[in-house]
Amino acid sequence: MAVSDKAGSRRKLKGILFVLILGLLNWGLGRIYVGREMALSRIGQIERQFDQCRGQITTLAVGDSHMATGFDPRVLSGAFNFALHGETYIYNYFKLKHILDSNPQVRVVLLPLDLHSFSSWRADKELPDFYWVRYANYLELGWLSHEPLKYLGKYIRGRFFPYLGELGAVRGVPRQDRVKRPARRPDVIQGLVVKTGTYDENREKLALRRVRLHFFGHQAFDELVAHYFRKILELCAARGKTLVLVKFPVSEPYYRLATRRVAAAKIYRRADEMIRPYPNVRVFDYQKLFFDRDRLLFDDPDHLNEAGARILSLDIKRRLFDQTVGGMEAPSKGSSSPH
Amino acid sequence: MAFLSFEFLVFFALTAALHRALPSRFRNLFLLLAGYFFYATNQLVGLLLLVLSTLGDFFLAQGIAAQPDPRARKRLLVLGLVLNLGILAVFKYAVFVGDFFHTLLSRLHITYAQPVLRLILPLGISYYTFKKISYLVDVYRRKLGAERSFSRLALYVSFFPAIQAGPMDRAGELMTQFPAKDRPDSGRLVEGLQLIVWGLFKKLVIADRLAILVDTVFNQPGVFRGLIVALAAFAYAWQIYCDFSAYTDLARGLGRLLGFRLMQNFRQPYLARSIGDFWRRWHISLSTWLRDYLFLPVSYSLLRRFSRRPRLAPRADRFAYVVSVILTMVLCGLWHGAGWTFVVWGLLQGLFLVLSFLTKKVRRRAVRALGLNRRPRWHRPMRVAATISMVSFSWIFFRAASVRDALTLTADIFARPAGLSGVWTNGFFAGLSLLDLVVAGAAVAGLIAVEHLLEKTTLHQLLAAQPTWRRWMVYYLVIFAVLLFGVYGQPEFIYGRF
Repeated sequence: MAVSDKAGSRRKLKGILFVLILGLLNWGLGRIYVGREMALSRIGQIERQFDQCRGQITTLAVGDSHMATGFDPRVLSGAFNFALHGETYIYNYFKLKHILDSNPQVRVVLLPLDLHSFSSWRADKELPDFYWVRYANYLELGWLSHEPLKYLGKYIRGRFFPYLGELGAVRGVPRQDRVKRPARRPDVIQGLVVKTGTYDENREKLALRRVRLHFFGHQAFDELVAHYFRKILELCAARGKTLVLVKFPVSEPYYRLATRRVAAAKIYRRADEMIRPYPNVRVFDYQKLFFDRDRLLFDDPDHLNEAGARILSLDIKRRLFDQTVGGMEAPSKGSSSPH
Repeated sequence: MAFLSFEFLVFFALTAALHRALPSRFRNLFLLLAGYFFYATNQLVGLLLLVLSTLGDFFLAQGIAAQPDPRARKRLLVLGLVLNLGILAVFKYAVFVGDFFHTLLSRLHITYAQPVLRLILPLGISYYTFKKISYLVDVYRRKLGAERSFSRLALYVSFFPAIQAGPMDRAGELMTQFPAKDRPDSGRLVEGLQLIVWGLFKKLVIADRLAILVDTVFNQPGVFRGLIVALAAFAYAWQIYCDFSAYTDLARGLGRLLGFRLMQNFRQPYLARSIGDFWRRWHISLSTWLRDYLFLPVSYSLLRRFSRRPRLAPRADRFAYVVSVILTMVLCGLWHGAGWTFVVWGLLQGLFLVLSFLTKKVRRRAVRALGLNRRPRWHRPMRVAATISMVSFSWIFFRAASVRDALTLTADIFARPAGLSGVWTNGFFAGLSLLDLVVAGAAVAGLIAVEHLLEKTTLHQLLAAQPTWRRWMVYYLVIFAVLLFGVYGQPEFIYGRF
């Protein structure tokens, strides 16, 4: 009896030791992977740039790739572009909340309001969980989306197994979103993702591809995304921040094809209904601003290049100054257009 | 709920914990309800069919067992077979048969509006139908008494770790294990986890990685040269083996954690020395089912008939063998799916078996003449290579989308074998990066080495015989290979579709 008890205890100890070593190895590998990803990826680069500006930012841009490539913070002192590719209102909300908690000096928040902003494509879009577990509340997301196990799985993956299936991390071959090698100049400046191409060839084909990506097989208005949009509005109102919603310029082919696919007026009407109770919200509509110059000012059908971003940002600066920051006039409700 | 999903992990953990906590008398019912819940999350309508058909078999088996009159017993058995095979035929083959007759009659200029059938394919129908048939036949043959508890029979039919793709344990082997009685012990836990991790390695690291190359080549027949097609055929051979045996390992591992022992479904099939040997090692639960319930009854019946005919009598055994093998293998092909590709695959397997049988003496003489019988170290690899080549060739028909595609791919192998044109695009070899190729190659090589070791022992025994440090090294290596090199996002299993 005593011998069997001793053997049983020994087995248990061995089991515990095995699990401990496994946990340690897993933790180490996870740290290496996250460290490497943050060192090499654009996400990490933007995070580091943000950390350098922490405490000095008064105008903060959050959003998706339209904002990431379209707003040049260099034109406005105290501005930082913290937008990321594929970042939805869902994640915008959590990130914004996190940033505003530690950066109370932020006065103006810029956020995109585009045709695809509420698309379920965005709600489904995969983003690295190891990054988002730092900001997002997966419990809340699981509850609201009625998929608690899915989000629990994402949380566990992000927190404990960030390297799951990431063969590329071992070989160190950069993925598409990584900085390939030190360029002549950085491709991320104060969070702005600098695009230098032009949208001159295969215009219809490329535009159709983007429209398909945004709208085909997806709901144009996803309720979960809309819910977090409302929460952003509430958050900014509660913290006394001016929220500027920017309808980003798109190319003429993209706009034409997209409005053929989705009822733009309906989407914006629903957005307006949500915005209406909040006097701190401005809408800057630039959608058709560059229709006549879209070959030169766009990198692809719906992303501005550096030149386009600069022109747009200067106009945003002028209007911000006119309407809010400069205090020249009292904030007015509703949408306004430069045209 | 996919088998390879976080949801299933949570479901299984809860089920196993509650199963263990419950008193023995409630365990069957609990597992049955858990299995039905798992089934319903995948297919609610299919569950109704599963429950009703099991109920029918339960009463039929009672009737067969209670009936003293052999004729009446036989009638009840036939009724059971018709019911089970009828359900399978309607849900799995109705569209295929309808299409076939429509095409045939339209060639004869007889046209009619083909009815559009929108039938679901109930999850695991091919597997649970065969399980139920084997139960009815065993009761009829008095090998087994009719089960008096519906929950026990229903649990046997719908045992959730094996519902989707087997193994198809016989009622006499699995049902007798219900309810789990043994106390939890670390040996059982370790054995279960070993099987699960090994299964995950085969599925995620090998099968789903090779699938990329296989899909690239098989989805574009006529694009790649013969060398690449042949490589893809071999890759598919490993993909399907790793995919299917992974499911079996997972099912067996999960079963072990619950306290049950499911049968071994594979025994190193690609180390087989002949096609016959291959079928003794591949999908054993199906091949033994086909042997016991189809091949042997048919061949004995044919033997009796042929023996009565003076012309056929001298070679009656040969005729009976050839006809029953071909019939069995064609039906085996059809069991996998309602399509001509599966029929051709089954036919090829049957022909290989027949050829192997008919040329036995000639081959033996040739081996002796070449002196290979004195060199087993040479002879055995040659036999293994020949077998795997034949099997891989037949997999082309199994994998291709149509017989035409399969013929195009086959023609590519023989008509234009050389060249690598079109295979390297943007640094990817038929969809695989160089590193993926290295990982896949190394993993398959590792698998072959392990398969060699497993010829004489089981995975559990093999690992138990190692010193702790070596065993742990293997565990860590395999676990982190799965975590790091696994291809995630493809939760389906190939044999889950059948």
